Amino acid sequence: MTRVRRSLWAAKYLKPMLQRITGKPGWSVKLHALPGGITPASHKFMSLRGKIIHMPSGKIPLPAQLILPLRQHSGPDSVPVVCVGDYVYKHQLIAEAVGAQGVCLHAPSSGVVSSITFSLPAINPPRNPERSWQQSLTERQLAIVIDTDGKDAQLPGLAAPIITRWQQQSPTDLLQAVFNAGLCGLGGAGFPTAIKLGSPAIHTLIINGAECEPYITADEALMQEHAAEVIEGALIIQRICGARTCVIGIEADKQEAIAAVQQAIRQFDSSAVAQQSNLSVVLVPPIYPSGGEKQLIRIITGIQPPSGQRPVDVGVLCHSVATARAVYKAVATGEPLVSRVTTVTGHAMNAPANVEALIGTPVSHLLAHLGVDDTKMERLLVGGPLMGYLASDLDTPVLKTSNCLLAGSDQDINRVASDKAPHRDCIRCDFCASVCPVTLQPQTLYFAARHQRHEASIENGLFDCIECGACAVVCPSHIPLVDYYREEKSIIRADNHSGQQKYWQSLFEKHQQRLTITAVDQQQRKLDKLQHKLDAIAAGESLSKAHQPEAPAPIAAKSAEQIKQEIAAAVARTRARKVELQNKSEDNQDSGQ
Amino acid sequence: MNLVNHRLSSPFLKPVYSVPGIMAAVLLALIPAAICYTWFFGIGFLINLLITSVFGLLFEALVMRARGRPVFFYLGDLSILVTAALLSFALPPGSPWWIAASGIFIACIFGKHVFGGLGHNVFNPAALAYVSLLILFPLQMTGWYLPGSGNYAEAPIDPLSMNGIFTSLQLSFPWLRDMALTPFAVTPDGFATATPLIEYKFAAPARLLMAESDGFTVWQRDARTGWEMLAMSFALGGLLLLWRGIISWHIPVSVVGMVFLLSTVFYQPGQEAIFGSPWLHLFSTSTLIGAFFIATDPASAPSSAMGKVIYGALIGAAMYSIRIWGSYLDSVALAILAVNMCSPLIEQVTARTPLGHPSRLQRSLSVWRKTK
Ligand code: SF4
Ligand code: SF4
Repeated sequence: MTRVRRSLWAAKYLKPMLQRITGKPGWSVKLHALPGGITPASHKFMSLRGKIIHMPSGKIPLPAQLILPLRQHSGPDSVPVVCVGDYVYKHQLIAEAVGAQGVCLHAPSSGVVSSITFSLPAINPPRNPERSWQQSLTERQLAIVIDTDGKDAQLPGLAAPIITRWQQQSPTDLLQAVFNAGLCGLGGAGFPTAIKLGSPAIHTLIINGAECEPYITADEALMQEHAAEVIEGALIIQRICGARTCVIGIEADKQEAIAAVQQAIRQFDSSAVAQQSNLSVVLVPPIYPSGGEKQLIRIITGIQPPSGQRPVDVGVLCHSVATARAVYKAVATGEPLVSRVTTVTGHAMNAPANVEALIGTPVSHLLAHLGVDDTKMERLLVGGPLMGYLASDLDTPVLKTSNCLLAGSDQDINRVASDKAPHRDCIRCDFCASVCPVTLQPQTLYFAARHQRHEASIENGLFDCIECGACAVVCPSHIPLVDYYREEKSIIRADNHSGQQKYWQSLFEKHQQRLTITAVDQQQRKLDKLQHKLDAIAAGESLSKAHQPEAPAPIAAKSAEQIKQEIAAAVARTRARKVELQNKSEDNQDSGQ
Repeated sequence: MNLVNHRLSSPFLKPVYSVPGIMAAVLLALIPAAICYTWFFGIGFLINLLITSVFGLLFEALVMRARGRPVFFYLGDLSILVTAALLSFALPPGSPWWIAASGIFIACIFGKHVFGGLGHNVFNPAALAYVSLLILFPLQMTGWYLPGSGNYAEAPIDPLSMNGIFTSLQLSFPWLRDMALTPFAVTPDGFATATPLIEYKFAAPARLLMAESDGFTVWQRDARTGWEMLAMSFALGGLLLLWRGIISWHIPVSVVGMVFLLSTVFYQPGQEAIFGSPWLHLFSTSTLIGAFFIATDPASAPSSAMGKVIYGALIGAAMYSIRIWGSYLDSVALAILAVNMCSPLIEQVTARTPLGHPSRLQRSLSVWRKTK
């Protein structure tokens, strides 16, 4: 049994280690405790044996097709600017950003746009508040498919200009360069980088190198091999956002990465920029989820943004090392975001490794060239085992946000059946509360979410839950706690009102709908009756007989023509009324949806 | 790749703990105490354990059947065995078999399932069953019919000799004697005193108090040493649970701390007969099984750390008060039941605030400012 230690790494253990590594005696950082957290077996060594494999190379050639979904970030879909049949060069813009939250998309290699299709199930979908999470798991979205020609040709002049002396550029120009390169957060959520960078009044920049999830080593490998680029990217970001201090937080057990980053900083020390930049490395305790944005900020600065606010609202900006390096590439080499370092790992892989994969490469291509054992593979996860998503199809592409592909064997992946399987009742053992990094009470939240008591859920901090999954891992009753939270979140998000309001409103709407339906029926019945009368007149019957057999009604004095006219008028009136009612009920339905 | 038989959303990591695992750990932690109990007081305990376990599983299965739940899935959580073991420790060894059977019936039905099963119970099932038995069958529950009544029997019988074993069997199953199935026709001398869960009133067995000064002799099987060893073995089991992270330190520490504090404050040398020494309170009574095994029942305890400390301190105070100033025989089970009732309130009051939310104090301050 893997034992999850539920204890904290006190800052006092870290301080001596920190001083030993940095070699600077006066350098002591007060770390703030992260409440909760777990320390699962890391499995990181598997993918760290070799260097990062580049693509295309002898080991992994260009794939025949590149599949580029139009939404790889959180925000509206980008709009294609190429047509089917167009020849695109490497780094050419193929889809434009839309709206404030848009992100550009570029061709990772040269070739012909063979289709723009809906056919691909998304993997690792950026969360879409309008849909429930189950829907978004299988949601199909629009993608540009490029048949590569193997030339990897880049038309000179297509690429953004290289900014050689970025130190002298204005932040606005640099920001524009970042926007043009189509950057979004590479850590997982895919928030557009340019928007985050443009936030006002940032005083602290934190570069997130605390890759705490088991199996994932993409950031660690990046720091080991490209530390200088990461540091320079951090400096560029700092110039753009104007932060006074810049802290690189790395988990204390990544010794090699720490050494490499230290080395890179020492090289920069001579330059004037580094002098002003107040750059430092801080070792954070290797506890999951110390790499969560708010968690890392809390550990390093002690700042806790009030519930509902983002860290940038309190002046702290956090970017992952992968994003920092992408910023460096965008500014210093003019290269848009067309590749990222992805960990391909799991016990079903013969040779787990980190790959600098082109965005849009089908996952099956990577797996095949790295050697996957199909008989062992149970599941393919995109992301780590704690926060990752399930790939429903092996031909799904690598996205900008895919930091890990986990070809899990039985050893890696929990075989417990889906959320429909019976789980035991909560025994209120409190294990979940002791590991929650947000100090929620997951069991209380679970009862609220399960019974859909929306107000209680919100009060108990449903929207503060970062879905880290720590609680579900330690729960002895094996309750899929996070599933309940996701479900509840999507239900609450589905309506902008609180749950109770929504309930009463739905009742009211149903009532209204019933009323209109009855009214329409009534009018229809009237119409039928009138039609019946017309038919009767046409048949030459006397109306007065049918309805008032005894008394000679005044209606009998009217001629058949007159009656016909009156009926026609009544028909017109009733029709109009019916149409009006129908429109109204459609309106209601529209607004109800 | 089979897409159906798996979890569909994160986390995909294997879970670390399981309910049967936790319950098994508790059972394992009770083994030292079980050995100790049998060594000092004969096999009456093992007979009780067998009866409560068998009947417990039976009742649990019937209830699960009646509730329309998968029977073996729920039997597999082993919780009924933990209840059975704890109840057996509380029963006098040598009580007739139907005491144990009706005890586990009460624990299973009225202690657990009327509230909705494991995790929903308001009271600790074992404590509830024990207190009910005490009220229903006071005579049988307070009798200490044992071969090895130690110091007080005229001619003590070694509880683990053949004679002792047959005596225990006869006590548990009275019809054995009528059917002449045992070779000996033993008539035990009925010496009534307390079981580990019922503490004696300090004034009554004066000889026992004198024994305190005799020192600590492990292998001399008298009742006094037996109790102390039993308390030690409960503490040992409790420490095992603490070490494995099954229980948190809050409740045991606060219960023991509170009892120790009160007994130290009120104790004056020479007044053992009224207040008892701290040592007596902790080790010659059932304080430790209560603190480590019964009060820590997660379902009936509050869940926040602060709440647990308050809950434990209340139990400690109630235990001491009932023991000293109350007129009832038992204190531990009653104290726990009483504080179980406060647990939901404690839980509400001490629920912790999520990070980023205003704390309870800040909230009430802002309300106060608004009203001003
Ligand atoms: S860990 Fe599971 S069983 Fe324990 S309190 Fe939390 S939800 Fe309940
Ligand atoms: S998933 Fe949510 S409730 Fe569970 S530990 Fe993480 S933050 Fe806390």
